[in-house]
Amino acid sequence: MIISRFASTVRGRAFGMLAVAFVTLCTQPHTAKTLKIATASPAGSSWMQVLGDAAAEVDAATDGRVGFKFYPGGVMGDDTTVLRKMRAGQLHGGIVVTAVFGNLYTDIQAYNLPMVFRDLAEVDAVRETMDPMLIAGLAEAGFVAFGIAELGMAYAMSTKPARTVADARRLKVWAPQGDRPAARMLEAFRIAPIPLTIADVLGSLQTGLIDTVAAPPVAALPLFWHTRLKYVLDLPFMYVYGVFVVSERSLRGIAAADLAALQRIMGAAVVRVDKRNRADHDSAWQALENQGLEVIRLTPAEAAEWRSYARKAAAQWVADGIVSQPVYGALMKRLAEVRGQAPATPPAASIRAAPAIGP
Amino acid sequence: MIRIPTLRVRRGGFDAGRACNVRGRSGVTESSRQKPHRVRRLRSGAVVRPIAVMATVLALSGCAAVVGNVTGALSADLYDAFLDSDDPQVVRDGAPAYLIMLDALLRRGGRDADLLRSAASLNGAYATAFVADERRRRAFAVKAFDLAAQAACIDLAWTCEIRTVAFEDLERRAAAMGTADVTAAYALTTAWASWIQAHADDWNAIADLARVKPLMARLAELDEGYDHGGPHLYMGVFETLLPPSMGGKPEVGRAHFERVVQLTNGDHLLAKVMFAESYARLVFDRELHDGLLRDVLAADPRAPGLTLMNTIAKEQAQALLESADDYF
Repeated sequence: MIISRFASTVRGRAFGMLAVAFVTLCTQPHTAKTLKIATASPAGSSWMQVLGDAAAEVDAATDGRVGFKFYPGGVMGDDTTVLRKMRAGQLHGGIVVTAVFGNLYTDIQAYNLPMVFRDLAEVDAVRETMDPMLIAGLAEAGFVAFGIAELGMAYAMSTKPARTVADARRLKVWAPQGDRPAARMLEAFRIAPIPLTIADVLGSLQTGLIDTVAAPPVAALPLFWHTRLKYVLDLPFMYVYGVFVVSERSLRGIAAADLAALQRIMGAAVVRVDKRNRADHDSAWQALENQGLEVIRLTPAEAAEWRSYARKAAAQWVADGIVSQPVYGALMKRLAEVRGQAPATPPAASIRAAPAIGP
Repeated sequence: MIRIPTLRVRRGGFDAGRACNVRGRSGVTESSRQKPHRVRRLRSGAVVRPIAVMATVLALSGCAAVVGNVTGALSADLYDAFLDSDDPQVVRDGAPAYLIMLDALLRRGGRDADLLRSAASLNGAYATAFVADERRRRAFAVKAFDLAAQAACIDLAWTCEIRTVAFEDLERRAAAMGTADVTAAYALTTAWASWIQAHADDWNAIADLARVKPLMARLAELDEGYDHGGPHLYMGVFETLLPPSMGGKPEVGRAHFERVVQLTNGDHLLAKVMFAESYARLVFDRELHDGLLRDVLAADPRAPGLTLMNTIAKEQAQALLESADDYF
């Protein structure tokens, strides 16, 4: 009997975080336009409430002319498949990770640049000015983005301790299958990546095929990866986030006023999710510690070594066209402004901050 | 010596009459599938409420001998009535008094594992079935888990540190459990799952879920029919929490759900509801979803030890069917 409400409740926050998914089952009937949105996250997410409410709000604001139908749980395939279906017109939109845009709009991965941010305060300052730029870039590529929502900083977690880059080279490090930027980053560190799907990671940690992953705490916990890991390196490797997009052509025919309402309401919903995810990030980190993972805190010199390789990785990304030179330049210029206005926070006071030695 | 009766949860029912000074493993001696509970249909609060109130008054009176005789005689019937009632309103009204009585008994025999488990189960079940307020539900879940953990700590000493023991050790201990450990481990595991459910906004709870799963998996191996296939039901849910792309195993989950249905000859209507909600929705199989739920709506909820749960399942089935057009 106790189990009767278990699934929907437990899925609530934890599993809703996965795949940057904002799940809602909400479909507004009798709408002139129903936007079909896919996500990998299972049904029952607490995000459903946020976006379900938003969908209802859109329905009301447009007098039923615009509605949503969400396909949760990855029933439409992984993010790459979702994007393909969007281009084929089988879906109107999706909530996807940045890597899937590939050549369509590669600059959307700019915030993923390895170790580019010292802490989340810097993320906020940069996103304030650069989100509109990236969203405009997506629009030029044919995607209307309702917003960007963070999953948090990805940290290296392993079964064996590693303080230095040399230590890490002795580890068996996972890279998401098909994620060229991640592979290029590891190559810059001269670490040989082992590509696997997310579904294969837990089993591979168990068998020893891999012994190291990098992921935000909010992803590691619901995937049970923490059960096989013993160490976490307190150095934010990468800012991870997702995008809620619909194809531009799916919005054709919607009246300008309705379109404005749609973007305003859904944009606000994504902002709400984005803020909540920030709070989850720190709580999840604490939970990792509570589960017994040992936090490896680096000296400034050790962190500097990691960052020197990260600069090489960033340069490689730009050279490979993963992030364009103009966008990279804009990001670094903004970071310099931020750091000039507000020097980096000392490690102890920052949010899971690395030692204050920037690129 | 003051003898306080203990109420032992066993296959969904209480075993009355054991004295609190009798220690030892609370082994399973019979199963619900082997010896069906008597079916009682209580349609009026006039039945349950006076009994429970009387028991509570007696329990609080301090007259241990009288309490022992009365509650010992009533406990099995009361819990059978709880589970076999097809009128949730009656149970909702009557059960709180019984919960208070259990609290009183715990003051006397607080270190008795069976009594602790009885209290844990009833508190957990009551909250799940009848408490809508999140704050109260969480309080019930905390209490139930605390009681079940105390009980498990008595019978299975290694579980005293179960939340902090290294995960590999937990897996090793779980694998070493035997059939004599099923009662203690199942009560602990289900109460823990309920605690997680009540703390779904707490990342520590999400982390704990990884510890619950291997325990339940082992229980499914040891005694798959326990609590009307309860271990399989939980495993069905666990395996369908994530989509395949994230490591979920819907087809494994489906096999667990189907096994519950098989073990209970289709009488476990909540299993069908969970099958529809957790599996059919995840894989987007509307035909299966609607078929399972229509079966539930058409079924007679009365079944030994399952009637109350089935009655609630029918309500949930109706709600899921009504939202199916929106979902699929």
